[in-house]
Amino acid sequence: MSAVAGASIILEQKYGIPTAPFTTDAFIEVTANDRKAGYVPFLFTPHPVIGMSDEALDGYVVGENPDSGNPVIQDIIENLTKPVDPAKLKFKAAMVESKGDSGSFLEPDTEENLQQLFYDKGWTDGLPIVLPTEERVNKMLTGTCADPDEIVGEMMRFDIRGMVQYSVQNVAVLAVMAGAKPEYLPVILATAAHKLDAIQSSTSNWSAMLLVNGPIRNEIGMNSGIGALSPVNMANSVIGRAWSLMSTCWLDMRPRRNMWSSLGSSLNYNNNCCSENEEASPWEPFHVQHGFHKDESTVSIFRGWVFVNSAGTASRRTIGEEMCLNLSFIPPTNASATIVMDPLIAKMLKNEGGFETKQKYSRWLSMNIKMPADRYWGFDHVDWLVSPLAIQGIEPYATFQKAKPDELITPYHDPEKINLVVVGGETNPLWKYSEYGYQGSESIDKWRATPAGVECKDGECGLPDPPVEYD
Amino acid sequence: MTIQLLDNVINPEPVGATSNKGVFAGPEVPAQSLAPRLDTLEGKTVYLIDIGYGGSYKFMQAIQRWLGKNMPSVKTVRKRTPSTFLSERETAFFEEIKAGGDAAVIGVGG
Repeated sequence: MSAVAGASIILEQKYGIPTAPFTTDAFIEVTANDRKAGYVPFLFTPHPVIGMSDEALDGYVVGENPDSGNPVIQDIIENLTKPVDPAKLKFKAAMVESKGDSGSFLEPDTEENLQQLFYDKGWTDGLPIVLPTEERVNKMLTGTCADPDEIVGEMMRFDIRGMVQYSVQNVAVLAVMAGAKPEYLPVILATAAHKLDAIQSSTSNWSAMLLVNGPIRNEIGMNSGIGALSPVNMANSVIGRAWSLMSTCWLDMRPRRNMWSSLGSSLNYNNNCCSENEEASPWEPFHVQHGFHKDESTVSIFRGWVFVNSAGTASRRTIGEEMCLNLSFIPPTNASATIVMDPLIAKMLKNEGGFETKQKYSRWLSMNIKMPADRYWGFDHVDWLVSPLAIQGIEPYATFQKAKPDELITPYHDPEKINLVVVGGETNPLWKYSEYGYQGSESIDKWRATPAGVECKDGECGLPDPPVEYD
Repeated sequence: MTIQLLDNVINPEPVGATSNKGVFAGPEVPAQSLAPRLDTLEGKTVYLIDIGYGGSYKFMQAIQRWLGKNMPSVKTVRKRTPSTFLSERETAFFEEIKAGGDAAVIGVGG
């Protein structure tokens, strides 16, 4: 919708072309809140357009504009031939320019009332939260050396077409709500510092993954082994949950406000948060691949649409053949793939397949994952997002577009974008595959209670509590 | 049993918010700045611009069919946008429409 609005403004203002911009009636409300769309004379069809037959769309053209009640074709003709009534332009959103008080308190109340208040305000993911009392937040802040008022970053909030800014204390509040311990806070702060939202204001079903590498994995007891992606480990569960709460609480991620995903994604409950099984992996850790020292702790972020389990392992085909077959049905929009594999798979690939490094296997996959050209271009979001690259002559997409319909192309053509991560407990040689793209990594160490290079006086800063011993 | 919290609870909202900033920020465009409208579509050329999203091309085909049947003097040109988010830098695209077209329909956004 923003793409249509932006182009309409250029056509109207710079080129003097009267324009009838279209979206569907699902977005009437969004149009009214959009600073671009609200100032051009948008018209609306029934929703959806995609997937409708020619006959149905012919009906849309002569049928009613759900917004005006007029026939759509009549509105098109009038929009292009009659002066636009300013009163019909929709923009109504108020400017937001606030400097909130990060210490604003809610009065003490009963646990039940406060839980209900948080739910009513949209400040939960639907699950009960740990109420962020002053005492709990102050305790959480002992997990970092950072000043509570330090600004960590900003994220985009869709409905105001603007940015929200958050402090260390804001992050600590969400860490408490998610159920974190103070020693998890540096990981959550590093995630927040990356400035990407876990849940996006998209009508599609995005999801994401958080991967932790380095010594902090074991210091805070993260699970990289059996059930690493199952709801069994506190650190994995609540660190990933805290990331989604950033969208929930800061970006007002409620349906028809900023949440527009048609089906949503249950993966957002903890965003596949896990740590790499560096001890069992035969390859270098993911963060080392990306320029970090092995003793540095990092969090890496991945996002995309598709995240799938291998139903079984490779028994009648090779691992490579099986993975190529898996990915040949997933269209990547920018050649990205992320494969999360059990250490058994990684060891087989290295010892029996001869892939001494992750990079060698990524290169092999990039050349061997193939799909017919018409399957690739037939995917809606490939047509939408990749076709423009082909039109501009950018390779290999221009060549892909010239291919015959049944000609095999290699859509995962860039080995640099095929990410391999080793996670799991070696009970079965399985993997998960996705078209998730790698969004980058953040160092965790600067957020620790004792940052790297600073001497700790008692040797206990940032470490978890020792196990409690019972009689 | 009712549990009473005796400690203040902190509001989880962020410290600040600024609208119309970031990748979706846009200018305020007063209605007066819209292009002059045509007297009629008869005999004119209308560009039907498909942004590539969600079956847009089929909707533009439907408009083209209607105009071809009911207003045959209107010439239509269907055109696919050369990028996902058009910018002013894509002058060739806009210049073509300016040179050959009198009006445009663009969509369908989602």
